[in-house]
Amino acid sequence: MSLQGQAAKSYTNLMNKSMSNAPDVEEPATTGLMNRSRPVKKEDKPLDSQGFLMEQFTQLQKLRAGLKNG
Amino acid sequence: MAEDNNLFDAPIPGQSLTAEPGARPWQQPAQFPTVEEAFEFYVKRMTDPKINDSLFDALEMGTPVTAIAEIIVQSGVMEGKHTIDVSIQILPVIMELIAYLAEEMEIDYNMGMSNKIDQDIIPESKIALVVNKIKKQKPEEENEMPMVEPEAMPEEGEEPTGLMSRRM
Repeated sequence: MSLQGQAAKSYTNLMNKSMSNAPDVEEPATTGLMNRSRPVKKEDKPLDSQGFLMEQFTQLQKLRAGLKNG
Repeated sequence: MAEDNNLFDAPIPGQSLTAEPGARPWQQPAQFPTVEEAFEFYVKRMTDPKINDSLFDALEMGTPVTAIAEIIVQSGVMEGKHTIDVSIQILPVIMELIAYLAEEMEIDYNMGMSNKIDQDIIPESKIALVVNKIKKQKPEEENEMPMVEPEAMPEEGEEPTGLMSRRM
């Protein structure tokens, strides 16, 4: 039983996926006094295993980038 | 390459039948059947300073991160911690975790990728993909854009030089 280089392949695949995902755009909050529209919070979708892995992967990438940038 | 494809580096046919069925740890139900549980198990182990010394030693010796990650998850399968499917799924995240820990410890590590992935370089295919997406998102706006026609430029042709030609 050997994984025979699966690590490099799966890493490349996940990296490509993470780069193709559109980043979340933060909408500016409207905070006027007379403003009647209230911002609706986006509900968190339950993560499947792939979503969980992608989230962990991107979080680790951000942490690594934070280390590199000081 | 010849070492990678060694045909003799494999179990003897029928070797799996030499033990009682179900006696091996990987023949039992996995201890961590889901990706989340398996990943949590590895995070706890790899961030434990009592355990991860050998990991950092291997990284300092120049062992590629890909190889280390493969060995870690493979041993997890052999111990019956999780299935081989789960191990392949969590491999890239384990690699990223190892790279993060190595950078935190300021170890110069080798990722083990044949093609280095530089996140600062965006491949042209991805740029083209994004441009196409933007074009598809805003087809109406493009149609509404007034077409700017170039002004008619007077043609500078040669003046007619015939005897009967009229002068303009």
